[in-house]
Amino acid sequence: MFKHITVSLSFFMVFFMGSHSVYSQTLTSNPVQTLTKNLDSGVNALLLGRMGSLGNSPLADNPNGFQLQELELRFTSNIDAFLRGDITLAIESEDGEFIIEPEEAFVETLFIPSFTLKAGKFFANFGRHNSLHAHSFPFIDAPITNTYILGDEGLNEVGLSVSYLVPTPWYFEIIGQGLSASNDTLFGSPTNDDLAAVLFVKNLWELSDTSTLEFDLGYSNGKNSLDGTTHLYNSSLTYKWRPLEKSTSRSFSWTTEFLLSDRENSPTDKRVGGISSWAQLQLKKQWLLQARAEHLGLPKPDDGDINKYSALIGFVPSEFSMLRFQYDYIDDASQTKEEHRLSLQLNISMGSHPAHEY
Amino acid sequence: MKLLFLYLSLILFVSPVYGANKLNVITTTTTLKSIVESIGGPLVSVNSITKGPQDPHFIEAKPSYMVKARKANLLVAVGLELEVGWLPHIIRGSRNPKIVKGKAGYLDASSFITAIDSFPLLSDRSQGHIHRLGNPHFLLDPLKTIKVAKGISERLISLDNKNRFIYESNFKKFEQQILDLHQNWTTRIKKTSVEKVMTYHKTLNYFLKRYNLEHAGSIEAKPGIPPTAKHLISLVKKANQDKVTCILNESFFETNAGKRIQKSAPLHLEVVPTEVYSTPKATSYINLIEQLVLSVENCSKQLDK
Repeated sequence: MFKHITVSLSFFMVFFMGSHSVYSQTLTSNPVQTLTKNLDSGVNALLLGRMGSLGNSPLADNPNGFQLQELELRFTSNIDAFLRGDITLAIESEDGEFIIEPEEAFVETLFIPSFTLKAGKFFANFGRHNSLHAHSFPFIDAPITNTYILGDEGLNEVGLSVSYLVPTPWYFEIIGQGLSASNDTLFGSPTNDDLAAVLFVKNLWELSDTSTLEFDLGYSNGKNSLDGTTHLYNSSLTYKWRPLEKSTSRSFSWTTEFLLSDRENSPTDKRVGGISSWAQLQLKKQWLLQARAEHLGLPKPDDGDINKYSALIGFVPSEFSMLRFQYDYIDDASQTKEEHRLSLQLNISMGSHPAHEY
Repeated sequence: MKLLFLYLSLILFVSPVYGANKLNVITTTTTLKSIVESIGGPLVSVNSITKGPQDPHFIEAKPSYMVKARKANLLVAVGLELEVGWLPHIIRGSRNPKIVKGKAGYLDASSFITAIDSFPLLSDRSQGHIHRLGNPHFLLDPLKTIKVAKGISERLISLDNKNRFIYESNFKKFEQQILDLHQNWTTRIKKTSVEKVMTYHKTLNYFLKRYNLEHAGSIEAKPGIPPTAKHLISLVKKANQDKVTCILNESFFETNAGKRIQKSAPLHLEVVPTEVYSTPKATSYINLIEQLVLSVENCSKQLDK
């Protein structure tokens, strides 16, 4: 995952954006403000406590106890009048050791009407959940459909993206992406010159001043390590409601996402699909209630279905901190295990934080 | 494939053409929309991103706003980081290079005024949701609004020079109207017995300052954070001691806390608009300020009873 090309790209960008702000700093008498204006930097920390009925047995996905789930360092800046840079470094524990990894490092254009070109390493625009950073996941963990089909890191590759905002009365965006086909779960292409194509179409209608409906479709294909082609399909539907008055204390949203992978020549799990559906209800200013149901088995994995049900209660003192308590029930036929799990997560944000995707 | 082609050609060619020849302006708030309409009249078609009853601090960057911003010739924002949480995202998503910060199509209204309540650069978030660069609710001061309206008229002229005289004369009309009303508003507020006012948020500081009313405290202890019981008790004490006669509770915020203070102190609570259309009667910029003045008069009348 830790690719040479990505590392050098991100270092180049840090150098570029960093040096620019230092340069401006010498020109004004107001260094703090200039610095923050030129390079927005922020940190997200996710602290996690977990207790599961399977304890620390090898069957449990995650060990019990407290852990630093992830630290995200994010730097964004307009590089000049033409380009914007965005870098996210993730520090997380892998096999007991902390590693730092460039989660995203890309530049995108600011000057082309109707189009945005993007280059670097980024989460592919493919479905509702894939492009989210861990700190903005709707639940403490990613849906099992995403982790099982796309892998733990999701579809996150080095490549290029062209997106076009089609001139229609509703929001209609077409995104074509050419990415290195290195995702182990899906493609596992041994060389960097194999590309996976990802096409994503996003539609959003404003049903009224208070509600929207989004319908997205995604398709991807690329060569896999078994001399075959992997096809990926995705579709999702999201409904969101938020009143005009008291808009910070009432809201509702509901997303349902379907994912399917078809890996030619694969000896196991040739065709695997799943559906994940989650809803969020806010009845009071600082409180969130959420529920999620997931089914992996459309078509079934070789070893059998996995079903998972989650409930979450969130306390959000401000935009910059959030405490979430989640219960999961996992019924995994593949390993004939059942697990009850409780998780508590503190999610904090320091420094500047770019707006979240709607 | 045929179907896809048909679908694509339909959406590409049937998309509507909005207000041909008019300058397409997008504003972040309804108050700015009302001001731009006063200056541009029928020469501009104006859309506001926030709707009246919506608090402009907390807007989600809906993709449908990007659709609105895509064809804009001019974007007018309040500035002072009021829209920092969502506007940059909308501008980027609109892929409209004309309205990028620094271009002629981007206008920051705060650049025409001097802000109050600005905090030292190093103040931090333990103070709540503060605007480091200053209080962004300056349009509630009619005299500051005149300065902003002048800036808007100059920008409209630079984008549409052939109609220069119309923009100039509309601005002069607007300026005169506000100056006349300002006289009237000043006299009316002076006549009331109201001197000290509490609000929920620091939204009304510019208005209060302009009309010589003292801001005696905010119901929220820190911006953006709901009040604690302890803070409410201290406000009741203050209201009694300092003879605060009026709570102007901005319509964006709940009134329960204010009503609790009203029960224990001799003051009157009025729900007031802070943006055009944030209450039904605030139908234009002038009516917005008129509603605020009426509320101060109401406080006074209620207490004289």
